[in-house]
Amino acid sequence: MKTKTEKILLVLKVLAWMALVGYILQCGGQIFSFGYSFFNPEAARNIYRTSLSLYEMHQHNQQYFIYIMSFLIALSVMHSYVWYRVARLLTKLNLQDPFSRKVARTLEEIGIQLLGIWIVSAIAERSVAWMAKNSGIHVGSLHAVNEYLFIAGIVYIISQVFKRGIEIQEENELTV
Amino acid sequence: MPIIVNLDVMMARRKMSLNELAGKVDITLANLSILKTGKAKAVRFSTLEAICKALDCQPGDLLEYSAGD
Repeated sequence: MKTKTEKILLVLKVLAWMALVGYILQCGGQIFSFGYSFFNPEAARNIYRTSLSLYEMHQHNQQYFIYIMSFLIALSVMHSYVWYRVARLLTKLNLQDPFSRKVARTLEEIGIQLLGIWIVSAIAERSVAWMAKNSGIHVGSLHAVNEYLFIAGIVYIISQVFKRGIEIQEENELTV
Repeated sequence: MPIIVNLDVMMARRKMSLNELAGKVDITLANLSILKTGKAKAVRFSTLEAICKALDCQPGDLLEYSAGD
């Protein structure tokens, strides 16, 4: 019989894979919109799963348009990669022996990658604002960036506590 | 680690095998092996007491401090 925790982890695993598929689709959609916009500029009106309308920017300054799209695609790729790590972690997690150095290292890396998303988001947010101001075209906002710093901090703290737990477990195992 | 476990030396002096000692002190062979090879991070007083009793020795005969390592 499965415990409540096992059931919750199973649901989380399914959700993580669904989120991964969603982000991969988003990333693919944005890459497609980006490529297609060079043949049909109307495609820049509705960039897949963003609130941005980049048609005017595309018409006014194509270099700015490429910069903004590069940020969007880079962020989608980074999100997809983090969800891939989470989904893989949940899939490979051995519930008989969950406290392993590999899990702690993966958690730590996910925390650092989330920090990376925050840094890229912050740069992108400011760059888009600067480009919008410079060109006089309002394109909207990219993301709520501060949440990533908070989540990255929480995940990093959890990974460090997890690491200490593993050290204590190893000490207990080597106590005769 | 600067603490050296001289269990193998004492066992050789008493001409006692690891299996025999494991039986006498009621510790698994795997745990005794961890202690003998110096991989142990800690030793319980109850374990030390049982080993000292079985080998008829003092804790100082089993443990040694070496600052150099």
